[in-house]
Amino acid sequence: MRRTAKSLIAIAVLAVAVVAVPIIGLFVRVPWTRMSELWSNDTALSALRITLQTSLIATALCVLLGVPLAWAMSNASDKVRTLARALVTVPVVLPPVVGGIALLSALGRKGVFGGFLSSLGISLPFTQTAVVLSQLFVAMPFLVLAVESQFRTMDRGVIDAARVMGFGPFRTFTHVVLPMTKGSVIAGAILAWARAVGEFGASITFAGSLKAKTQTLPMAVYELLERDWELAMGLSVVMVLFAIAVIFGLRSQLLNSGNA
Amino acid sequence: MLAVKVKRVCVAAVVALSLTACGESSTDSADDCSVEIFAASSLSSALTAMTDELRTESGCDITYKFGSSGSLAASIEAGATPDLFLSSGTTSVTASGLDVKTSRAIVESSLAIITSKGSVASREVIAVDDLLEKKWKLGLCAATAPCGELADEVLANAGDVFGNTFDFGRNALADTEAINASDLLTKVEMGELDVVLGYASSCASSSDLVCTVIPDEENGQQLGEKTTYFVTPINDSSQVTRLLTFMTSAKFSERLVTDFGFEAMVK
Amino acid sequence: MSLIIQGQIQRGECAFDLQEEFSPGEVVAVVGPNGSGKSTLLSVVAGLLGLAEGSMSLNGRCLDSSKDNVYVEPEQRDIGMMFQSLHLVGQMTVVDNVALALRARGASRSDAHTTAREQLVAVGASHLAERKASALSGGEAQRVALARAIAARPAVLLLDEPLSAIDAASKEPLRAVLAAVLQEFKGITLLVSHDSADVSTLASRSISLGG
Repeated sequence: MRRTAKSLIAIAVLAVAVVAVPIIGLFVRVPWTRMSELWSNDTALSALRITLQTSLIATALCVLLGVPLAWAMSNASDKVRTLARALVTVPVVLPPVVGGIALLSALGRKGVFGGFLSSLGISLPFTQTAVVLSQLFVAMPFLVLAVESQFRTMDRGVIDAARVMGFGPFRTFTHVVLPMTKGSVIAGAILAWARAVGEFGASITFAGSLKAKTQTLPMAVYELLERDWELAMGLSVVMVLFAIAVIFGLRSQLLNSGNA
Repeated sequence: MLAVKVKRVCVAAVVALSLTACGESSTDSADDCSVEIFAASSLSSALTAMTDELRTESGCDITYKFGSSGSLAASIEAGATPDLFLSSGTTSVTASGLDVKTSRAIVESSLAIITSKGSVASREVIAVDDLLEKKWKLGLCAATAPCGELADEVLANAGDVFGNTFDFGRNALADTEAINASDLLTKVEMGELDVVLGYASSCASSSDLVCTVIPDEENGQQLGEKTTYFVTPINDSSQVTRLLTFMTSAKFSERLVTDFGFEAMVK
Repeated sequence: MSLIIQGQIQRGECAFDLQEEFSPGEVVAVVGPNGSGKSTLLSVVAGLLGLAEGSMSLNGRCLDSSKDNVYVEPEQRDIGMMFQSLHLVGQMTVVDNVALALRARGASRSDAHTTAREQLVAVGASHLAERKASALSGGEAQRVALARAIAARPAVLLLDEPLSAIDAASKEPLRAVLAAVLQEFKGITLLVSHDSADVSTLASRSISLGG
């Protein structure tokens, strides 16, 4: 049996406390008796609907765009891959609000491509499309990085085997590689979805916050905090429970792919 | 030889350091005190510009926290202990758990139609009913913020004045909301929003904005609305008392009116 | 109707010449010391590597010619290959693995499964059909890989050390299975092995590389 020094265990307990204490605090203080009000609260309900709507579209786009990107990256030369990975990682290390400003600068009405879009009669800021784009921007790296590492660590010899069996490069990907890596694509998608649901900084900058149109759950929490902090806490608890559910979902997913 | 040189440089540096240290302490306020002010973000440019005067009046260093009156009130309620609270309206004073009876009115500010200088909207949106046109991207303060409450009142008034076209309310009109007005004003300056309903005083501190004050009356009915700014002391230390006296003086309100676009209290 | 190689195969720093003709029905053992290019030869036939120089044709169709700038991609070559490290798809069932080669050639799902099951019977692995490929023992995986390589009845079957990496006890039965399968097979077989027993029992002739 391995043993950890007592002093290190003390530090570890402290580290756990850093995460656990705020969550416990939230669960202790939240007015449970008022939780049912959330079901009849306009702000909460429309935010829930918009959050589900936008985050699921964003997740679908993440998978549709991110999985082929991850595949291309896993097959690229070391130099290209390093460059691509650095670029893809940018939104992870960037404050989301900066992402929002970047999106505005590119796709806003006065943005680099916004002028062109305006000429087509398309205006992105303050729309649900802007919410989806913000979520896509912050969430895609989580999927791409997870899936790309799986693409690189899987048995690459299977790719050669598939080619010799008669699959072209595209069908090798769809018929052999994807079934092999389904587990981590799903795990990556769940991770991206969770990130999209929690998105705040980029969307409040690029998409604004308007009830029943662009206001997602995190924005609703932020607004409720001004008006009714008890309900804001209630809504926060809902989001914590969602996060816990996601982690459990990922855990069984990770166990599955670990067995494979 | 080299070692000696290095030593001399070090000595010089130490002397220089101690000199600057002395210099700093001499300009510092006599007693080692500081005053923390929580203030509505619509007051931020005025207060920041007047920091020196406030320092002279109180004899203390001044630090600020700007935000929407609502969120500042929430943090006071949660245990923040500033010395003074400058709010828009008194709702947030109550929400912060302070006694409204200790609040003093300072100045007022009217709600205005704010556009970007030189924009199409600045020429075409000159009255409240122009907001009904769908082509304008309109930003409103969230209903929970004082500037949002004011906007809702004006929209309700407009319903009475112009008829039921305004009855759809803020959600039908607005393209986005924000908890404080400055966020919206930035987006007007960036060109992402055409129009914002905000305080007329905002234009005094930005040369890129055009403010059209919504008139008090239209067709004999009330249309425009204004907010009143209040100062509320949170303790009775001597420096807070001095600042309170200064902020309720005619001199202070005149400065706000002439230099920062606020309106004097109607006595 | 045959596989003709007239060219050079890269082996490490230098290339070696190869002039060979392989006929349908024959099982040709490719022998030689480690690093002599046995596996490289199989990769060149499969199309995973190109010829350094020269040309290769199968049944009159040019597969690779440096001079004429011809290079047929692996999926267009009608080859079956059993890799030394097998490369089964661990996440799929055994029958799905074997059906892959048939699916790749355009067979419907049910046809592919029927043929795959027949092939699993032929290699004595029908009881494994529904098992995940990742859950197989070494000997079982080898049978499945063999079934997958031959299931689509390719023109050329490439076997890279098909009997390696299993214990001596399992080796004999597997060799018998392989002999039976090759007996039935009408195409060309290239067998790489370092075991002289394999060569003598399975191959009709052998070619030696390097050394």
